[in-house]
Amino acid sequence: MASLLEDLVQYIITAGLATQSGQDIWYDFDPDEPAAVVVLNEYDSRLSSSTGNDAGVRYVQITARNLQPTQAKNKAWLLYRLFLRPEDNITTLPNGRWCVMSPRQMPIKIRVDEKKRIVYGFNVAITTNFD
Amino acid sequence: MRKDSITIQMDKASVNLVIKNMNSVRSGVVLGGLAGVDAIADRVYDKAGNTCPTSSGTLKSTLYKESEVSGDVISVNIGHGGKYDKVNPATGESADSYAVEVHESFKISPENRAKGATWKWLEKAFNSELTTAEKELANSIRAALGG
Repeated sequence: MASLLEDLVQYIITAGLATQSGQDIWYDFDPDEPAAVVVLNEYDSRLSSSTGNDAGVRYVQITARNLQPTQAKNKAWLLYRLFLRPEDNITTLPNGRWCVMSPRQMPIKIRVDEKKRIVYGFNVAITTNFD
Repeated sequence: MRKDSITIQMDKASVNLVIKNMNSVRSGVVLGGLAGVDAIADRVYDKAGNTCPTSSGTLKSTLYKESEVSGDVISVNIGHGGKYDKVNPATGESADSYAVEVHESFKISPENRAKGATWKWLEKAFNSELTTAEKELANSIRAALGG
């Protein structure tokens, strides 16, 4: 099984919100170029009390960077809608991994980087299997 | 009285006693809930303070915890800035203006990492309590009700 972040990258590409991993979408790494990128980071996890021993809640930050503030914001919102699923609704990712996705807030402006590029993002709690 | 009916008579004083007891249960649940929530929030606050990255120390110094009970709703807010905001003497910026950026950016300096600081220190401190919070709250309410 691929890692959760690899599976989520494929989920985003399949939805048409990015084209290729390592080009306009990355995980665990924030590339200096290109300016317009989507970046995923897994930053925390906890065991789930309700789904058995081989599953847990994993927390992922999803950001969209762009030189144009409106494009960064719009991309973050499109990603947010992709991850916004009815509560307790199981989503199956392209490679077959099951998960329950719950965004923790709507997209917010996170920072302006040293090259004046705008970063919007949000966090999502994902109940799923271990890798 | 009809043969196939049952008449239940309730003594008004007894009904009033039941209502009085139920009200004391309600206040006990709120008090026990508040004690439980406060204990959990104290640990979140301490963990967040211990893992907040520091440079000048301004952001860390604006960390706050506020509890509130409104009717049956207990809430605790833990965060930075707001009415506790301060200006960073090194940069002239208010903590409010950069708190989100620091919290949500994973580029933590090696010095801070060595001290145990982390990005998303508030969220991680909160997440670390979630698995046991429900049981702890139940125990606190049970204790307040004399169970």
